[in-house]
Amino acid sequence: MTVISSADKLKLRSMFIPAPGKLFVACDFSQAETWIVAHLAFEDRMKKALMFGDIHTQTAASAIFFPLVKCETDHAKWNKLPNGDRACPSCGVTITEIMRYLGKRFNHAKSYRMGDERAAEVINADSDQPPYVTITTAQAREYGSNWLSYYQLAGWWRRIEDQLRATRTLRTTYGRERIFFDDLYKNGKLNAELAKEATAYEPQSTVADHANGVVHPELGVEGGFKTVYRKIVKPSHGGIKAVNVAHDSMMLEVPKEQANEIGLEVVSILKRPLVVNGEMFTIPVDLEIGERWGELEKIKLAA
Amino acid sequence: MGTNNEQYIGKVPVANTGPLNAKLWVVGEAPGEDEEAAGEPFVGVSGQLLRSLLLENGVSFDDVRRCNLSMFRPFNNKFGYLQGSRQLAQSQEILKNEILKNRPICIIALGTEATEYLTGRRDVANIRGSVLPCSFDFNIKVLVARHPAFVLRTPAEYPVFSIDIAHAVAESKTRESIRKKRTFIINPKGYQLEDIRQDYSSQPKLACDIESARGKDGTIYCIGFAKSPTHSVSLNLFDSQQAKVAFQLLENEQIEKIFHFGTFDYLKLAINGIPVNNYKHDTYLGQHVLNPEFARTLAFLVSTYTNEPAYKTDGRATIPDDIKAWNLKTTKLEDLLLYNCKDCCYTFEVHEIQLAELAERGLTHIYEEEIDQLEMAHHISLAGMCVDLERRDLFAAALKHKWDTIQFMLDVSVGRPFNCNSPPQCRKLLYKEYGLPVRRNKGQGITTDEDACVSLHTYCMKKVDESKKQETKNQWLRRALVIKSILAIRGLRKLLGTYILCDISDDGRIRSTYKVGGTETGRYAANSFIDDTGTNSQTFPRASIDIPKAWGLKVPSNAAVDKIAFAKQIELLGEEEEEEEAVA
Repeated sequence: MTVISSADKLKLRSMFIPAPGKLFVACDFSQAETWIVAHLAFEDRMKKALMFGDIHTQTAASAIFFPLVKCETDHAKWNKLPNGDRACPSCGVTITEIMRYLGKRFNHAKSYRMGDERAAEVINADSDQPPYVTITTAQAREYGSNWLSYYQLAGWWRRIEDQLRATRTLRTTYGRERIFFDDLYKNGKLNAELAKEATAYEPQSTVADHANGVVHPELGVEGGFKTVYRKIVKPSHGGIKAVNVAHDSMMLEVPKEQANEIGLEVVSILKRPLVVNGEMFTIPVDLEIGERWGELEKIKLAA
Repeated sequence: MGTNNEQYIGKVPVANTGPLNAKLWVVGEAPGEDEEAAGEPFVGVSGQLLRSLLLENGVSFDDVRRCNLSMFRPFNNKFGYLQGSRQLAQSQEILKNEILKNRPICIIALGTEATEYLTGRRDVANIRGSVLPCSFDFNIKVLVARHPAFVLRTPAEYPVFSIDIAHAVAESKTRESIRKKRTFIINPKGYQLEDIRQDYSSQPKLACDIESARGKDGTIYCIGFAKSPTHSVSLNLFDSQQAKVAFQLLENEQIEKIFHFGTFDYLKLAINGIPVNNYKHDTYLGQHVLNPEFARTLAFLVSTYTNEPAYKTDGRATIPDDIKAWNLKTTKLEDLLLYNCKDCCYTFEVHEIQLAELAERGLTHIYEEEIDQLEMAHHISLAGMCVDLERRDLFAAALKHKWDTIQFMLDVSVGRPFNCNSPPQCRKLLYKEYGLPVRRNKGQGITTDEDACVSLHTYCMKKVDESKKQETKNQWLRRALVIKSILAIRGLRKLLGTYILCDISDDGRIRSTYKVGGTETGRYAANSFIDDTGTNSQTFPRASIDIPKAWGLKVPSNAAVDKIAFAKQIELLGEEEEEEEAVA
């Protein structure tokens, strides 16, 4: 029986439970699209934050709220405080939960060229959910401008625009191709909506293929959800079920006593290298196990 | 607009031009400004587009007869002004005489008006790319195409238009039909069935397709197979011998199966206990890999890859072809079997062309990867997830309670009972009473949809910041809260109707249909299960819900949600919404 931590707040997804004697094992790629953006844009600060820190906290500190603070270690480490805030032991900067949340929302919005006003709109639209944040358009402009000064994505965006002008075609590292047929120009300028869609295409498509199990033509390494199905689910003849796949996450229903073991095996299958812009890297994978979807417990994994 | 529109019709006639003995003719609607000035049809941008595409296919514009239904330009290029006019009648008479006298091989009908005049049909969206007989002379081919002006306004249509023009050029080479001659066998019995069994069992590949009724108990009526683009059979499942042969063929591990969006067929067969082995190809996925921007329906593929005319709406309601809503009360079984045969042959033909194109563009490995993922997607679709019914009821009651609370506050704020799902009520409140800046959708209609409300909320909050007087601030804040309440109630309605109270399968699990190739990026898409139960688990909200503390995690008897009453309530609200959308 799950102990409900807060008597009056429940996750909607918790209405889904595994069959008797089973547990849910869920794995997902951590910050997958940001990893791809960082490599497509040759953005070293983003790569470093992904590899060694917490990208959203880093963004909140260095890009949005304290861009002028010089930290000797470049916020290499964050200490989590009892109230949930994070503090940099080197320079003393403290990032609250709300600041981190805004760092996360701007990471998602600005990588794909979302306008500041629209960013404010989408953040405010979610303001009835934790952490209950609303921002003004002026704040969004300030944060957006700081973000773009810190992360250098303009070169990548220009390459996409050049590619659209030249062939209208983008091809991902996995070899998937898409031709963009919409108007290239609107009112004498490159069609902003087309540019946004094209910018999002490569990271989203690369993550989809990486997660689903497409074999990279250069690396030839099997993995992804397809391999999890083939190696773990199928041989169990119904003992283990794959019950959901959404973007970069997969959930299995497994016998209770094997949950940890299977979870680790799934993680090892999902953690495989890929190459973007000639650089090889591996996207980390998170593991959660539990009796209800939405109330799964995160399992700490060795690096 | 009608017969008394003399003042809206140009005085200068623009005569049809080009050689009368041309094999290929184009027929548009009426001259535009450029044409009127030059005294020649198709000299404006639409004409230039047509000229360049014909040239790409080795045909000079000078060798094509260029005509319009009307030789006179209507005001603002609105064809409606010409309807019923003597100018249109005279022009059409001249055109008809020219056609009958010179008998071109192929005429390209550009847009709705030309298509209707030449073929009697107006549904260009359904029949574009089709070669139909000309109404005046059945031996003249008419290829239906979009109007170039439409293509210029909708650039995504350009590749399709280009295919249609190439098709017309090919058709204009011979008066004979260039459609493949095909053999369709329906309802075979006795020796014929045995011959089919032996012949089809020895094929390396078979294109397959099922036709069935919709819903939880949707019967499978027939299963079709094609051994080539030109030979297919449809087996009637009401005949046990035919059903036996059909199941044997599906189960045969040696034969590669080709489907079009076979996920539907596979799942439908699976829940009826009929296994399919060696499902190796899918033209839906072929299209997804080759042209992710384009439609993936079989109807569209047939219109771009084959010389067949549109057939999907023949003898059935106009519905998307993967919804599969046959009903034998309204359709003759023979028609259904014939349709089934066509689907199979066309799927085979499209498949062969796609394989060559995939290889040519270096995309075969992506296609094979997608095919490889189908087995997992089908497994997940069939697996589903168990539902804790007690908790589901708790959520339903809590959400309904929240809805009622917000609705009460909203009604008080607005000063009357307010239906958030009624666009006229929303438009009246937001744009007339509050005077907020009007938001429009892509089709430029006035809208109060989610995007509009989010944007209006931001507008109000901006006004709150800018206002100096507390009274003005409060006024804007109140409006922002009303908009937020509208959004919240709509969200709750969707949450309840789509997710929490969706139909559960008999085994207590909620299922989704996972579609490989469902999005342009390669991500899977999902929707409710093929039997219309379940929901899209991929998008099941992560949100939390507040349960009133007094409930102690149990639904009080007076708060339980009556699902049927709730469904009725949603339906009633929805009716008004649909009606208004139509008006908009």
